[in-house]
This record gives sequence, structure tokens and C-alpha cells, in this order.
Amino acid sequence: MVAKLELVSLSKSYGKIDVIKNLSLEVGAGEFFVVLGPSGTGKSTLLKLIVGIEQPDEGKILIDGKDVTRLPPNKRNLAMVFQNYALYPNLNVYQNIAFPLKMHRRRNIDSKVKKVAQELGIEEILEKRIQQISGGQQQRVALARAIVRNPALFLLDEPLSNLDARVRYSARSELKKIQEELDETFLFVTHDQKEAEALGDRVGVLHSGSFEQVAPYRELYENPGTQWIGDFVGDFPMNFIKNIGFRPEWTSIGDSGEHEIMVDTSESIGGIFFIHGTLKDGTSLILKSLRRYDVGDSVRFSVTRSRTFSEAP
Amino acid sequence: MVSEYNNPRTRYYIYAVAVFVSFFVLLPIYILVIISFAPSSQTIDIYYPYLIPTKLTLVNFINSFRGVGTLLEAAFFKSLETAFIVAALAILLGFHAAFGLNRLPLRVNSTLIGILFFSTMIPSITIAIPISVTFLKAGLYDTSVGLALAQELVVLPLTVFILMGTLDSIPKQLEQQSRVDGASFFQTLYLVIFPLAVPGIVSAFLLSWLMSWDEFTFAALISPVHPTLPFLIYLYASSRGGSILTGASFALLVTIPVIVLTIILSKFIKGGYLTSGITG
Repeated sequence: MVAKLELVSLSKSYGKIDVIKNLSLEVGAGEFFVVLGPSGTGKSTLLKLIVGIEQPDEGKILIDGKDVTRLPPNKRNLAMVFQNYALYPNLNVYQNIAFPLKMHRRRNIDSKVKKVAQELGIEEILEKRIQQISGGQQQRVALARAIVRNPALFLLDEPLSNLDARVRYSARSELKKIQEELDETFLFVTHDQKEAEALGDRVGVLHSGSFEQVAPYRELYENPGTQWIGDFVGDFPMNFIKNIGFRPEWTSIGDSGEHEIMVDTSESIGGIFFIHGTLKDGTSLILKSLRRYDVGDSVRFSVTRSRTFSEAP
Repeated sequence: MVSEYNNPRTRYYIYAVAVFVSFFVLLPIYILVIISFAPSSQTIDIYYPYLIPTKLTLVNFINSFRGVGTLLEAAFFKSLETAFIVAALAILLGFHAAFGLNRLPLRVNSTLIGILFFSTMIPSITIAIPISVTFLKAGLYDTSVGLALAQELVVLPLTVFILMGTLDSIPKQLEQQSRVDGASFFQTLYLVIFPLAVPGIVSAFLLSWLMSWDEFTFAALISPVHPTLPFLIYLYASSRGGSILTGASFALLVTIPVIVLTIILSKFIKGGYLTSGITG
């Protein structure tokens, strides 16, 4: 069952702090939507509102057109994978996966559990206790528990952040594959840009309680809607000379260049150099370069591509 | 930190303390056993009693229990009944109270806890008298249920306090996960939270049971006609021409169920696995 999700003018505050401010969003059926944002921008609160653990002060939440704003979490027909997986420690793997089926009084529990376990490659550990399995396996169990019920919507709260780097990459591509096979609606919350880039059909960048921009990652990078987005998205922030923004690679270095910087540091990433330098007026810039420059060198460059923002930096 | 315990000197120190504490705790029980099972000519009848008796006998037991068998049996079962009512009620009320109190803002719940403990600050004897008068009218006087309700005054605050600590240590996310997984509030409470709280619940159960089992003041004032064991022992060992021998034999009888229950329940009191399904 694939459903679309609509959030209409959601607001939520704790005391005097407005965590979510007039936030609206539409996630299409079968879409992999990533909510990207630095810590403390209300990502978790947003998930809690959608899931029903918290109630919004204002606004509406619709799943497949149905208003669920005032429904308790168990009536919303969605699944969630918490950052720490929240597996029931007193139940074994099998019982963990079967739990939501039991709660929903589904039939053929045994065959459903075994099927999903097989799909995720955890059929060998079904009888194990949660304490006996690895972090990667725990993540699969949590995912299996979400998938098994065939919910309308999947919510994932940084499910990869507790894995080792190596496991994380394989889990990431696997997650994308699973979503494509299931063809279900996923809402994935992360602070990791690489995850957002790799997973999201669209990415919503959360900034102080509402979406600053919602677009495919490429678009966010190439064509940021605001200076804040330009600064936040990307491995390196966008360079700004007054209100003209450009990426480190949107430049060409050469003696005839119109600007000149003094090199502060230069770092090498995969054979390519990123030159951190300062303009005469003190503006810090980062340029991409194929060769190394030393501290104190003067480098001339031209901007080959740029984006002009209306407001001053 | 752990390696510090592997240091031989630290280890000997720990062993020495353990031996000392065990000695301190076990010696009275040992003396109780000797007095009960050794002939009185080797224990209480001489100035310097034997530390290790040369002869064992059941005579003390037989003499103590002669003629009071049915009385003792009645008291034993009354104590048992009362203790189980107290413990069960303490868990039933305490679990829900603790869950609710944990959800309240900190300032409110600490105030409520203060009020809860207020009843334990007043000496039992001053509350026991008005209670027994009220129970006379209510038909609860001299009953196990009545006594249990009175003892609950002292037991319940402590149970709630223990269970608040236990419930607080259960990750909130498990509760939220359970709701998302389709469990109702009460299903979450009984199918997820209760099983996770079992170690704390068992500790609280055991403690309530023990507090009731050797409770004296309420027992003496609310149930004097059909007494519980502690009160009966008091009557026989002191006033009604009883002796230390009788007292010791009875006391041993009181101890046995405590040991049995503790052994049965101790395997449930193992914490530490609560957070293991939770990473980070």
C-alpha cells in the first residue's frame, strides 16, 4: 500500500521555542524523500509529529488524503525505524519482527516473518537474542519489522548513523534498492549530505523549523534558492563575492584571471586540490585546482559560472 | 577501571571486606541455628556457650511447637496471606502510580513523592490506632486484607519509588516504537514496559513481601486476635511464659520462607539487559 503524505502549515513549539514553523510539504506516492538539516533544526520533532508521538499546535497531517492529525500513532498505519533501532530487548529477532503483526492481528504471521527475513538475509538469526547480533544486523531487523506490516509510509530517523563506515555504505545502497523494489513512500531524516545525495528523489533542507528549499540534491547544489542553501549544501560551502555565489569548481585558474587570492592552506582530496585563500578585502574563498599551491602563493582566477542572489551575504 | 580489581592487593582487600561483612551478617543467624538445634545445656543454660555444639537435637523444636501447632499454623498462613496481598497490591498500584508519576513534570512529581512518604514519617503506632478503630466499623479488623491495607501505607511509597527508578531506566523510544508498531497505550504498558520492568518489579515485590512478613506494629494493633507470626512469636517468646528457646525455634521458622522466596525470585533480579537492544 503506497500512500502520499501531505503536511499543511504545521507548527509546534515547546514553551517559548518554536521548533516547527508553518511547515508545508507534499511527498508523492512511492517517493524517497530526504529531510536534510543540521542538528537542532527540528528534524526529530517533525518525525514525532508525523508519527503521532507529538501533537502539532497548528496545521494538518494527511496520509493518502486522510486527516490523521489527531489519531494516535497506532492508528496511523506507518512504520518507523529509530536511529537506535529500538528493538525490544526482551524479545528475540523473530518476536521483534512479528510484534507489529500481532498488534495488528494479522494472519499468516509465521510465513510473513520468514519471507521478510529471507529478503533481508536475516533468516539465520531469527532465533537469536537482540544482544547477540551485530549493529548491521540490528538495523536489518528494525527494517524488517517496519517492512513486514506493509504500512502506508516509512519513516526513518538517521537509521545509518550508528553503523561503521564500511557497513554504512552497503546498507545505504541496499536501503535504496529495497525502497525501489517495495515502491513505497519513504521519509528519511539525516544530517548527512552524502546520504541525502545518494538516496533522495527529492531533498528538503530544514532550516530553523521550515523547509528552506525542496528539490533534487543536484538542483540544490547547482542552483541553490538562497545563500543559506548555497552555504550549507555541498562538501565545501559556496564562495561569495558580495551577492555572487560560485562553487569551488566553477572557476578557472590562470594569470589573466580577474581576481587574486593569497593561499592560506591547500588540501588534497583524491588527487584534486582545494585551495583555501583570501581576497584583498578579507573574503575567504575555496578554489578547486589540479595542482598544488603553497601557503603565501598568489593565485589569479576567473569565475566561469555563478549565481546571483538578491540579498546581501 | 576494571583492571584495578585485578590488582592482587585490591582483590585481597575486597575479599577481606566480603568476609567481614558476611561474618557480621551470618553470625546472628548461626547463633539462632545453634540455639534452636543444640541442647540448652550447651547454649543458654551456661555462662560460656559452645560456639560449636557437640550434640544436635530436635527437642527444642518439639517442646516449642507442642500444644501450639494449630495456632502456629494459623499464624503462619495468615502471615503468608497478608504478605502476598501486600506485595501483589503494592505492585499493582505501584506500577501504575510510578508510570504516571514519571510522566509528570519533575517539580510536580517530586512534590507528590514527598506527600507519599509523609505517611511513613509518622510513627506507625499513631496511625495504627485510628486505623484499627475504623477497621472495626468497616469489618476489616483482624482480617488479612485489613492488615495488608494498613501495611500498604508504609510499603507503597517505597515500592512506587523503586518502580519509578526502574521505569525511568527503560528507553522512552521502546514505548514510542511500540505505539508506532500498532500497540495501544495499554498493550504498550503491559506487553512492552511491564516485561522490561520485571527486575525492578521483582525487587519491589520481594521488598514489600519482606516488609509485611516481619511487620509488627500494625499486626499487633490491627490483628491481635488471630495474630501473624511476628506477633505470635513475641507473645510466646516473652509474655506467656515462653523462653528464648521457643523464640529461637519460631524465629527460624520465620526465616525459612524468606530464604525460599528470595532464592526463587533472585534469578529475575538481573538488570543490565535493558538498553542492549538500543545502540548509541
